[in-house]
Amino acid sequence: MLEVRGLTAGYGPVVVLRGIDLTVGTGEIVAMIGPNGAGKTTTLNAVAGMLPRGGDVLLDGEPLASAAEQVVRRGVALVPQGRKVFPRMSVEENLFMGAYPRGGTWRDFDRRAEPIFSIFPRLAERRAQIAGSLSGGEQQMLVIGRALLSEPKVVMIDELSLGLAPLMVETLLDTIVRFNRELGTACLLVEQAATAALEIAGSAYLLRRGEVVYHGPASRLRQDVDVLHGAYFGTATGTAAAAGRR
Amino acid sequence: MRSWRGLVVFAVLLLVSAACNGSSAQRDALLRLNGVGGAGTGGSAAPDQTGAAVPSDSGVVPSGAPSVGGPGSVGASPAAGAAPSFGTPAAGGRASASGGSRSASSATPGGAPVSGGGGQAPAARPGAAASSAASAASPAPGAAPAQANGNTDVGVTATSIKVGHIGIYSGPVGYVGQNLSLAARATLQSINDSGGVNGRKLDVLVRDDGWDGTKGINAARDLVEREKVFAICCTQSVSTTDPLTAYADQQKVPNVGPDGWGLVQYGGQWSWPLGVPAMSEARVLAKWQVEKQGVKKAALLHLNSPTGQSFRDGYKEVLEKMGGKLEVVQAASFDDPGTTTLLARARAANVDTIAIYADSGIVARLMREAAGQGYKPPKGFAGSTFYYFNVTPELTGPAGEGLISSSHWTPHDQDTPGLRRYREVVTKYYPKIDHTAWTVTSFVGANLFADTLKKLGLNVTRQRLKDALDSTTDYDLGLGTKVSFRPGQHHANTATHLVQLMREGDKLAWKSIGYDDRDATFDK
Amino acid sequence: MSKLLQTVIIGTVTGSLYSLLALGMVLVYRTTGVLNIAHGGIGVMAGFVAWDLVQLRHWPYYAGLLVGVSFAVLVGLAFERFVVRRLPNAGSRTVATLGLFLLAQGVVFVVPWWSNNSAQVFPSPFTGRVVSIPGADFAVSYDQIVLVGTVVLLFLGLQFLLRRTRLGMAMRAVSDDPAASRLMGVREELVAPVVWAMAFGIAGLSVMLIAPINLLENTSIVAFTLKALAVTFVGGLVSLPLTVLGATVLALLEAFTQIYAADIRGLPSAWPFILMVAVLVIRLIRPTKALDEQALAAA
Repeated sequence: MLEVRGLTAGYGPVVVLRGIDLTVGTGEIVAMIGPNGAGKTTTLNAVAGMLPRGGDVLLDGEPLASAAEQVVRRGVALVPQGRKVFPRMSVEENLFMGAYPRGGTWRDFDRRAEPIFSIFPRLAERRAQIAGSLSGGEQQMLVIGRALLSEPKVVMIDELSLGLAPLMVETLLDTIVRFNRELGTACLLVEQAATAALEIAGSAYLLRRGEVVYHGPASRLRQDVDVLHGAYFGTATGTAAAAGRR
Repeated sequence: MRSWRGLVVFAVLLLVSAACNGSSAQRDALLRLNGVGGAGTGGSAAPDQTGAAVPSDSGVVPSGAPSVGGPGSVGASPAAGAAPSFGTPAAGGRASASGGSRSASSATPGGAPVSGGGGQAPAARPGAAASSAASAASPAPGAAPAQANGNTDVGVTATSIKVGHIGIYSGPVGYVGQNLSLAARATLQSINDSGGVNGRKLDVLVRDDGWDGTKGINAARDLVEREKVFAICCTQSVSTTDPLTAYADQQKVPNVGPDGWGLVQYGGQWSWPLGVPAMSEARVLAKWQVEKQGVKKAALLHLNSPTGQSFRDGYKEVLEKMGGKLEVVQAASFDDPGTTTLLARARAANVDTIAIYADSGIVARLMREAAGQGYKPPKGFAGSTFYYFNVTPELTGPAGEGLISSSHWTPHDQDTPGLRRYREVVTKYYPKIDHTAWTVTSFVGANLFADTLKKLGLNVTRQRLKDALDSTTDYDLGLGTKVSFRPGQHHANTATHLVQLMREGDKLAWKSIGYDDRDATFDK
Repeated sequence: MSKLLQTVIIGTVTGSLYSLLALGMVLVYRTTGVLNIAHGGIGVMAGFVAWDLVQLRHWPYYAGLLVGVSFAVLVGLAFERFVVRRLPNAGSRTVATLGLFLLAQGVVFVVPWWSNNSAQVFPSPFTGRVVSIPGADFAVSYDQIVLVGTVVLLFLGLQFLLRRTRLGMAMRAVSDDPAASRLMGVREELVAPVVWAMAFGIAGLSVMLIAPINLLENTSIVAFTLKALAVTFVGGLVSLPLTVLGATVLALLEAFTQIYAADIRGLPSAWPFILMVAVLVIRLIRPTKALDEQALAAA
């Protein structure tokens, strides 16, 4: 459904992505992992239209525009790193902004938000609270819920677990599985700490220095520590022994 | 994170508020200037008629940039500058007449450009002064060898006397302030046109202070120290005249006929102010209100400036000496005139009258608001400065009916020989001049200067001029006030003529109420 | 009793005047993070444009009003397009509004048939009509009633705009996090001009409503703006209800001290600063976060 071919991007003269190929199928959960600086966040931002990009990005076979506000209207939502809630708006108002690209109004808000509140009952409890005063986990729920309100086909989540307690990460992963199942929304999950994401993903991509160095079932990465280590430490086909020597 | 932002806001607020206080102090000084505070020739005038106003014409040299080639000397320019000063830009004024440059050309009475030159006047100034002047002055060379050129003192030659004049042509009040300067220049020109002073022409160098005291003093220094003028005459920009008093004493340069609004001016040995202090106006007003109106209880609103406080003190002193009581006193600022609360307090105290020392804007607000509340003290509103502002009736609208104010001279609605002569002289050169109490002060100052010079004969020196001015007794141009100076006693004018806003057709106009008196406190 | 009632009425009217100016500034701060120091100055300039047309050129009052407000709107659009957009952050934009304030003052001074005036009469069609308050020996003018009414409408209108409309929500989102709002499909370059145009238009309208009561005049309206700035502080620069409350409290304090405690010189004019210092102290003592939340919850 979402197809990325030969994606390049960078910041000014600095090239970060050197031709990424990536596919997220309908209703699929895909993990993208890699060490710090591998280009994961850049990939998401480039797809979402927050950065100038080269290469092809297709959604359902149609090219995806390069402006952020058009990307979200086509159904590709990004949950950016760092839990970017609107801090001076309430939970409810944050969610309203999620429905904004779909032409949401307060009149139809309850109808649109109902499935989200059922996935995130804590957001329903705190709907009038100012978003800036939520806990980190709640804020993460809020930004995911907000992205879902734009009725995306694919939601891309950047660093879901960063800075959150393991228990909260578990809860969030559960909700991802849940909306994936209930709403059929595909999910591209980007993580540095790989293990959590690999638990729920079907397939996985491994990025290093702006290139895909591995693509295969997530289960294989989960089981074969060598591949993972190879990606992180620079020996693409490294072995446990090699990793150990380091 | 938020609180620092708050602190920044706080700091900005303090700064801006300081700036505003500054501007308010400035406006108080502005108020003290004649006629300022209102719409000049009137708010209803169409801009294309009023907009062209002065600055570019008339050969005035902005004092900020002392001209290199020489000053724009305006010995004679009024005739040329007359029309443009209130006319259309097309008239152009002298700037365009002299090739668009305000360089060295200085028009003589005959209109011929002469070299402005600095320092001692050249023995032979090409085209300078009409020949009649030279012939009239012909005895001079023979009179004394030291005065072979008639050069009796700084700035004096056989044919001319260099006079400095600082007017307001630019800046926030240039449009209105120019009237005072134009009246002075018209008068000086009329003196030249009728033969000058014992054959010498007055060579008037005009500077513009933009209503800025610093520029004004720079202009004065340029005139005195570089141009070597003999005296400064008829300068009425209070921003300049207050500091000019000290400068004149320091340089021993006669400063004839400044406005006299700032009390400091009366302390100068070399300054002879002609205006009336606010305190004197207040005393006369209070006396009239008790005697003629039967006022017993009064409220007073005054600007919180030294002048405003002196008005308050003078009013309170006389009112209470005569058995009245000042029930409510409230200080006002331009930022916050407090008219609403003054009215509430005055009503609660059930006063007979409300006295005001403020500009036309504030009194208009006060009277409009009172009318809006359906309130008027039984003896109405009275104050001192509103007749200086030609716009007062426009600002107050019908609510202003009955307002009492005062003039230094016979009010303009009168038809006396003195006023007729004033109008004839001034309007000959500047037909559209806006007559106020202060244009008359300019007229008197210029005449006093010339008439006293005439008394000196040909031996014109600064010291002799000072002595002659200090013995001025009952100088009278038929304008309702006689002026007398004594050495060390320069409170020459303390006369106050009361006027009232009365209905005339569908408008309000100032009418004399036939009462005038003087404050004798300063007589010694 | 009548004195008391008079004082309350005076305080309410003056409070509305402060509120009117303060609401416009809160709108800008809340939606852009910029403290718009130019608010009063722009209003006065627009007021003079309208005055010029109505009083000098004899245009119908409402036509002049419309052109005056449109002028302010255009200035707002131009300021956003050529200044705000080129500056990196709210701090530098705030400084730019200070520059704009000085410019606006300069324009009012420079136009020869405006500038020489300390004040101009700018009557509205209602000027001169009053309503007597029974029992107060006091009358309130239609202009004052219109002012109070406008404040109520503006308050409700802004509340509705900022909380219930897509446009208002987008404005707030942009101010909270421009990058995140792009992800929500909001285009800042379309929202920001609306904010500035609206704010400047409100500034112009405010001054035109104040002018019939106060005269059209630079110094005092700018002084009002400063007081308005002080009361916006009460609401943390974001809360509309707290701002209106602060404005009313300030005006009542001023009226009561001026009428009942007139002998305490300087106290009436010290209130804005006392109020600001009090707010600062409260902020230092209490956790500012909690306070802001309260302000926002009320907002």
